Amino acid sequence: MRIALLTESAFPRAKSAEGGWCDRLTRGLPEHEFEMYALGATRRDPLPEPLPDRLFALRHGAPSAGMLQGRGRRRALTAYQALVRSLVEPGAAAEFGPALYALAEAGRGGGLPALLRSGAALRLLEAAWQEPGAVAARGSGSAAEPLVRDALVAADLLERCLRPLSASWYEPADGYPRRLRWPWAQGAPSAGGPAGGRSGGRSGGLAAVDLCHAVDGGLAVLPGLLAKHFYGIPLIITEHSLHLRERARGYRSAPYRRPVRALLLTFFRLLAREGYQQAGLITPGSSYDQRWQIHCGADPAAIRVVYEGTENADHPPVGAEPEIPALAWSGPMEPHGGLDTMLRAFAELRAEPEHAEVRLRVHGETSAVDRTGPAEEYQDHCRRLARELFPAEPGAPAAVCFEGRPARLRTVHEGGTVVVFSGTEGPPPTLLAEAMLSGRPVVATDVGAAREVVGPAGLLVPADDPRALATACSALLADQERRLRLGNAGRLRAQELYAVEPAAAAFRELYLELVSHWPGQRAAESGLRVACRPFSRTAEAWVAAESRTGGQPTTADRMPPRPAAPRPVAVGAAGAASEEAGAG
Amino acid sequence: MSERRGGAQPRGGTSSADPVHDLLERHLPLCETAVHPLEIAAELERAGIGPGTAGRYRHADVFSLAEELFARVPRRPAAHRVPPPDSPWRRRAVPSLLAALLCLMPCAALLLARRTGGAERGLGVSLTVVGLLALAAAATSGRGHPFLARFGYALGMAGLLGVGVSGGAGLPVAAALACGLGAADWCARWFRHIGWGHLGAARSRAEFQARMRPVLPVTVALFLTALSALTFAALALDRRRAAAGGVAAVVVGADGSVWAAQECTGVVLLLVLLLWHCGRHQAAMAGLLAGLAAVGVAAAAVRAAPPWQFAAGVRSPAIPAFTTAALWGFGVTAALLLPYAWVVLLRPESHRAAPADEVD
Repeated sequence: MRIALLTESAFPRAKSAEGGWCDRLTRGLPEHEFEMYALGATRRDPLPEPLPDRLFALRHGAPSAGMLQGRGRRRALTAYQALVRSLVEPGAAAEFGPALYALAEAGRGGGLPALLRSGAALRLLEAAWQEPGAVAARGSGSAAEPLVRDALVAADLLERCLRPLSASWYEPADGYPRRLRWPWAQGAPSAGGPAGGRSGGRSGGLAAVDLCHAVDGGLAVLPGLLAKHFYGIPLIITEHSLHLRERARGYRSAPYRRPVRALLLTFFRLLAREGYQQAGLITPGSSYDQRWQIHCGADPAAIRVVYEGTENADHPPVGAEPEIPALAWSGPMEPHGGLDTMLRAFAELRAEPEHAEVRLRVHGETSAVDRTGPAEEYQDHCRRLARELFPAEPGAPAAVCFEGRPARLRTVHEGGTVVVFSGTEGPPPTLLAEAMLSGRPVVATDVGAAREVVGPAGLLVPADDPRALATACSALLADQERRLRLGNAGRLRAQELYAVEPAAAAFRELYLELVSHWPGQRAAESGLRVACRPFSRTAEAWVAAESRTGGQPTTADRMPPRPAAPRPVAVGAAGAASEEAGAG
Repeated sequence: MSERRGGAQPRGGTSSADPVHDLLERHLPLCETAVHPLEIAAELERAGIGPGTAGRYRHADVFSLAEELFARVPRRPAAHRVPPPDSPWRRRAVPSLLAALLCLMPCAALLLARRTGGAERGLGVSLTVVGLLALAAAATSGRGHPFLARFGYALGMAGLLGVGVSGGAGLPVAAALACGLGAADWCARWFRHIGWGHLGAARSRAEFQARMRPVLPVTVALFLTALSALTFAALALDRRRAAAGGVAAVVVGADGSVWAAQECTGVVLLLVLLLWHCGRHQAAMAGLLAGLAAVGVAAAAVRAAPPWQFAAGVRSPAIPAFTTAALWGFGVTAALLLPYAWVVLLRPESHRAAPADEVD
């Protein structure tokens, strides 16, 4: 199958977290062709050389040139008006999806970014804020009143968010009818090209792919939504960290006034809702996050949790424990990072005579951008607290050492007897998994996804509770056998959950499941003509085309497990395949 | 669960009847400034309240808890006052002075060379001066403009200044105009600065336009005053030198048409700079092109000889003719450009902070 990976960033390198994930996915599924559609990349970004393994093509999201005039311009403005109305009036939220598609339709010739920055769009936004129904921007007093600058800022941010609408991906290759789903079936000129051509020779953009996979939530979902709207291509959404939650937190510290904040948060909320509703399958990175998706309108039956595989699953565990017992703490040095709790717990621990020699290694991440904000104050507070609780004694090594963020995560685990996470905002699941993979026992606060990741293979303590944390650490430090047992169990559990192969296998099945539920209506319409590339389509696609009984595709009814590798099925064998599926 | 402290424990007294109240007090600023319950939910999760903990507040999940908090606390947006962003046009003296100096230098060099007899009038000298002026204009045009627009702007600006330098009313007047580029730059930046302030004060488009309406005439008047002062200074210096040199009663360009041509050229210069700094690159370049074309047409109409054909020192009758051409050409351009600028520069979208990313 041809699978479009949609990402919000620029062309990801193998080094970056997201690029690493894409790289592992494409390497794990060699039977599919992957194309990457990068929203953040522009025409001038250099292509990574050589192209990542198994990646068929990379496309940037620079908007296509063009001008909107006359009727097209009026249509686009009407759609924009409806879109803005759905953002500022709570009662009109249902109009969001149709307005979005109408705007995309109107802007297909290009020129949408210029229009959305023009005075006409600005006027519409201002008028929408003045409407009596627009309560989203209101508050008591004049502090929430939208100013001209707010309209300007909001219009520009909205234009930026809507830029994927005018990318040049949606147009089918030259000469195809617009709504035709499978161009190659019509004897397209590109279909005769080399099957594995990596030069990007096959044209067609999103119209020619079989499946869209939005690699992170947020704006990356937009092209997938449009591909589904224009061509009926199924969409699968993967969210490792929940995008909407990050947005909601991020806008609190953004320098925008309230109307702008409300408008943008509503935009991303409605976009997430539309994406969840339209997606065939949604794969959050933990079942903790799936509550958000269900709350935002996702069908619980369409959600499958797929843990993000890490490539360190095969690495050997770190060596022997350090000679002086030590606790390794890592996390952000911010009010929600829990360093305060850790220091108090450590003071209680040191008060016990058998643990007077224990040391604490603090590997705090500091954000470089925020030099004067509450994070900086909090760091000072923590350092002061450490000095007060553990006054320096001449000759003795310091009980608490602040070591900063290490270059390798492994050095954190090597230096500690026990790895502790004490934040009230749970650590990212992959960080927990890395700690468990090191073979050290883990103590974590019972927040976020910690419970499902750590499970029985570590200790969980309530948040903001130094006494409980101290008790857990003390119990582990006193019992070497238990440490070993928990460390091993944690390592095995993390290897099971976070290895690369299971993740790739899960996506192999999910792709096939999604395609087999999707009616291959275009193939049925085109009368199953002889394909130019006979093995390019999996059996499941043909099954869906043949056994389509009408009605909407449902993802709720589970199909039997699919074979691991797609079998090449010639057109003539499609009937046999459908019989087999019927029997299964 | 074991005993808790600080964190998520509803404490005794009235809070046993209303467990949410305690939470509400702890997160009051958050609830007052939130724009949606989801924002409260995200922050509650960050504070360690998960699906398990929400049960203690008699809620099924964090979302309904957040909704209750959102509903119980009235919005008080004043609590979350965002400081208005700093004006990027606050510091404008240094770039303007730099522009004035850079443009003055080629003119001064030419003046000196001519005084010492090192350079004759000719095509090569004029082209050199125009090239230097173009470099100066490109260097001082500000950041964030696309390359092509900057190139066209620099060429046009050099042409505008070069018309005066290589022909027209004489070098002192032209040097004053080149120096006036700095003054125009300062005025345009001041206009943007004032516009920036009104953006954050006006509540609607109409109010913004009403607030900005007096600013443009004031800017034009300010610039014309500065340009007149510069021209007067240049002429006075030149006359003093001429008097010291013993050439009696040579008043270069003291008649009215020279002054009028100078002011018209200045208005075009200012409007182009205003349009340029307000992100209207195409309009600015069109203004420059129109000005130069109009001068060319006018020159052809009054049969002015091309400026580089005069011999040095010969007071050809073509010089007043060329001044007339400049007066007519730039006068017509200014008359056309002023209403356009009046309409365009009062719009809020001409005052956005950053120019658009290049959309090609």
